[in-house]
Amino acid sequence: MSFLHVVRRTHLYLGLFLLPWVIMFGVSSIPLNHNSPAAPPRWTKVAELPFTAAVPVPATSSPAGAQPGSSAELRALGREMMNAAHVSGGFYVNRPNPRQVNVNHPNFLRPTRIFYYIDEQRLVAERREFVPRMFVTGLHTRGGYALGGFWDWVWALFVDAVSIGLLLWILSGLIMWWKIPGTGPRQWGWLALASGAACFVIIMLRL
Amino acid sequence: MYLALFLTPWMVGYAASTLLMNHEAGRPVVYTKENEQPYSTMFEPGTPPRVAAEQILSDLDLEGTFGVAAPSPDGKLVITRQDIIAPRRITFYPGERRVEIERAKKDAVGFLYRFHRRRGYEPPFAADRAMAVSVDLVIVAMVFWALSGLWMWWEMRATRLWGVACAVAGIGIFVAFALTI
Repeated sequence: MSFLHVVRRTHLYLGLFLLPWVIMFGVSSIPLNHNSPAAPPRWTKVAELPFTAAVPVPATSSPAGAQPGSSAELRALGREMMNAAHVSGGFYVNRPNPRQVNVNHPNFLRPTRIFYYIDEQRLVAERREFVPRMFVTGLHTRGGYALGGFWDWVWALFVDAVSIGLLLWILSGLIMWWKIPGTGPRQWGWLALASGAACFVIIMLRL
Repeated sequence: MYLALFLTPWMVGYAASTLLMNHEAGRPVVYTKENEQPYSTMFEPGTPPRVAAEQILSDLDLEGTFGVAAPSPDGKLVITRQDIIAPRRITFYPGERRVEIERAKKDAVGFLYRFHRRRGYEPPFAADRAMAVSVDLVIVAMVFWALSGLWMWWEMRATRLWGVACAVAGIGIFVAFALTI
């Protein structure tokens, strides 16, 4: 088994395994590049209940001498809110104002958002309707290891795999191009490579 | 193959930036003062911030894609003039009749983040249009590579069994994720 054979087979099987992600990242870029205004999605209330929890002091409004709450404390509160609303998995948490804490639980089909109204000691959970455009763009933009859900972590692993796969396809593609016998493909290849690099540099310098 | 060679810089950029974004490697932009100058143009109360910002950028010879925040109570206007390599921040102080121009410190991670997020046909500038066209070209290329790769694989009989196994595993995992998480 030659080196070139290994390169070709790696290029092929990795491509076949990650094919859905490649198509998804391509197709989902269409609505992102051709953004058009759309009606806001509809959210349906799925839970409303009394809720009380210690809220960390936000860094921006901590009184003199008081230690502002850490993001870990805010995440702990977010997990409490998730549990109270009977939602499991990863989430984002933020405190948009002193009276409210928001949790967003991503889900490609129907994400959930949870609001904790601190003054009213009330928790409200809402689920978004399925929106095809948001489903597709959600697949594109979801990533990162900090969401706190196991399967979100595995998804992030696949995002890394696709990124590394892309770099491997580029490298193996360059090797396969270079190994093609004859001067024609090499000359045309250099032309494509050089013209692409030139266009890229010009656009970057003008942007 | 030639399309792939042409688009190599874009694909390297998207792969590298995706890795960085997935590991949340981005840091806040650090600006350093570039220039400060008197600016005497005054705007009528109620002038939309985008209109004022466009005028300021034009007067400073800095036309281009920009973002602008709502003015502060004292009328201070902060404009972010997008630039993929080093964005500028222009602050207009109407009370003092001056503008301050700051430029972001160049950094590779920031560049890759901006490159990944730059898209769309809305800005009326040629470079933005060219970028949007190149994004469309990458989209077409990715779908084309996927389909042409499938066809080339099917023509290679010796790889069909393992190829089917890889494709089915990939599709199965992807669908399971898309429907559940």
